[in-house]
Amino acid sequence: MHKHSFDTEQRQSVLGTVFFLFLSVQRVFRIFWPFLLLYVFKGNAWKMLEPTWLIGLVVLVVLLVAHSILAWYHFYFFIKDNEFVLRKGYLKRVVIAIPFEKIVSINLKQGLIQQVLGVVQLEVDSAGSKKKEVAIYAISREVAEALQEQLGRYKTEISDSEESQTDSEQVDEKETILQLSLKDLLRIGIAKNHLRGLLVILAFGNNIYYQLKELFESEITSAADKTESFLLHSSSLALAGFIIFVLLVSLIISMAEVFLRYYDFNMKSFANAFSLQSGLLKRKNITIPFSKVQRLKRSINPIQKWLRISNIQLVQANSVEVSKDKDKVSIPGCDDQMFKELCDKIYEDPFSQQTYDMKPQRVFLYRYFTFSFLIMSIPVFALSLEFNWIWYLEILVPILAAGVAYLTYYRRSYQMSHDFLHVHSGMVAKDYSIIEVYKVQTVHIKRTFFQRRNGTASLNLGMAGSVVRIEYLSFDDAIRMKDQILYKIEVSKKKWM
Amino acid sequence: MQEENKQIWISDIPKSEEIEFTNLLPKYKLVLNIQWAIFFALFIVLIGVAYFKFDDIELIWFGLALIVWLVLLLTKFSFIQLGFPNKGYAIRQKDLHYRTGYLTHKIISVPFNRIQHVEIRQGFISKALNIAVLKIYTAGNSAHDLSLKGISLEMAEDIKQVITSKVTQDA
Repeated sequence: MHKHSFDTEQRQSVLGTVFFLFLSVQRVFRIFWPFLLLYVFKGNAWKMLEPTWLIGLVVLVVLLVAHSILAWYHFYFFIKDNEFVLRKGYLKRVVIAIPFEKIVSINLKQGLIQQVLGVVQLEVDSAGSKKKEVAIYAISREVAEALQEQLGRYKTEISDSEESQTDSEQVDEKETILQLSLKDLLRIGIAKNHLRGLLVILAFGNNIYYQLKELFESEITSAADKTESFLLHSSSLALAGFIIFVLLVSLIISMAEVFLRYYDFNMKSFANAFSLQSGLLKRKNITIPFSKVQRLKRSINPIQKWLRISNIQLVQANSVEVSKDKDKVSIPGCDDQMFKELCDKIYEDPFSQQTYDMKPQRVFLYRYFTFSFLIMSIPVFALSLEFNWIWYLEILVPILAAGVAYLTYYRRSYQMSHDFLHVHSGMVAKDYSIIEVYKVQTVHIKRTFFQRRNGTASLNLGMAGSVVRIEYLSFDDAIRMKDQILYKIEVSKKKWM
Repeated sequence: MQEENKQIWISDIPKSEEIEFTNLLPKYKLVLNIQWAIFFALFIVLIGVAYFKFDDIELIWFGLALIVWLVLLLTKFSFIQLGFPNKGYAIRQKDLHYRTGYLTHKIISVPFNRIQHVEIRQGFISKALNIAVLKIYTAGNSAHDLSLKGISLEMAEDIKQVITSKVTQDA
């Protein structure tokens, strides 16, 4: 353990210079590529071989190399007084110190270049900052893991210091919770939401279509005419073939995505944290302390139900306002038992408490129906301007909207217990969230004009990293729930992260 | 783990129906009116410039834009006047509430022990009228953070003082 001590200032691996060089080349390229492209397109490509250009290029390269070496040379990291300190910069000096208790998670990452160089990137995410503020770009995996462990250990020491130290023996004890084999990945891939793959095809197809169109205007139009007549005159067999083809492609896309993200996925649990590793090209390594989990989401779509797996997402307390999935850690392919195990690890006894069950009021069903009816009518209306026969589809819209509304209403329910709030939602898939009441940050209560008339209200619970919407409760229930939640937050002495 | 059978609803807790809200300063209504007047003035200038600059815009579109502009203006200003009495704030021992909205009534509640930091802001017009905005940041989604608008600068400083003392007390 003491092989690596971080008490003194340390530089990154020497290979860090190469990585810094790569970063700065990338940055320069990002700024200048539009100009370069413009220049080349104006037919000036040959001018680039002239001496002035070449000299400029050489100067640029020398500057970049010098910059990378200086940046590497002035980049230090060390641990001092329970703080993780980074010192960097030669023109502008920057010192960043993060107290251990502010550290949310420590992540190891390895991009393609870093993989080639055999180094890893270590990111320290802390609360209250605007972005991933602290990152060491190039250290050997051995050093990174030692550092990760030390930072993690200090943290547990601090948080445990008030309690007894009986857990300290277990700190090093790892237990593998979940490991995904190729067969598991296959099942996860099959059960994925293929609509997304389909959208990717559409998006890219459209994009490629428009780019090609600009280049070969005339050829494309004739080709498009051909495909149109093909679609009109071809037999239903060809159409079925086309549909199967699209399905197959979206299946392949989903599979590829699953393999890239979850290849060799393994999840271990320590005394009070999880550690996850996964990825084919980009290995990701994430550590999540149990206490930082703000919300546990589980989602089961019909195919997943049939295969008896589910997707679990852990929403962490994080600094950046998330819409990106980065800090929502996905654990795919969990079965019921695994789910229970996870819950028991993170929470104390979440399911045995007595609950008070609530459901949205009936008005929600009618509002949702109206809403989805209108939303679904828009594309029908828009397309019918182009093709007349689409108008007939409008007959299907109310039926579809009724189905959507009913499923949504049926799935939605809320259970409040002394310490927990269980939220059931979803439409086709079954979604479920469990949150600890005292981790709520803000409570909004909302009543529209109509809601005031029919005696309902909606609650939005602001959590770190997500919002929990509780819609169309009876006004009394909503008020009661709000008061209880506020009360529980205010009397709680526990740290919410 | 059945040794305790905890109660779900605790009956003896502070009720939010009993909170009395303090109205915002009437000066803030003036600020809102001025701000939106500037916005709509810019908007009409834009429409006018577009019409007279480009010859191929037909008169009917110009007229339509004007009507839309007028309707938006009237609704916005009537909403400001009608909704203003509903705006208000309340401070209890352990939390802070802000009420707003005309068509949709909203109440945002933030417990003191979930506040990350506080910020006082003053715009150009507010400064002239000695009005301030107290922005309260939590770790929750920023769309759901609380901005206490339309209070005097002194009041903002006072509330900030209260909050910071409570926050440090808890830590």
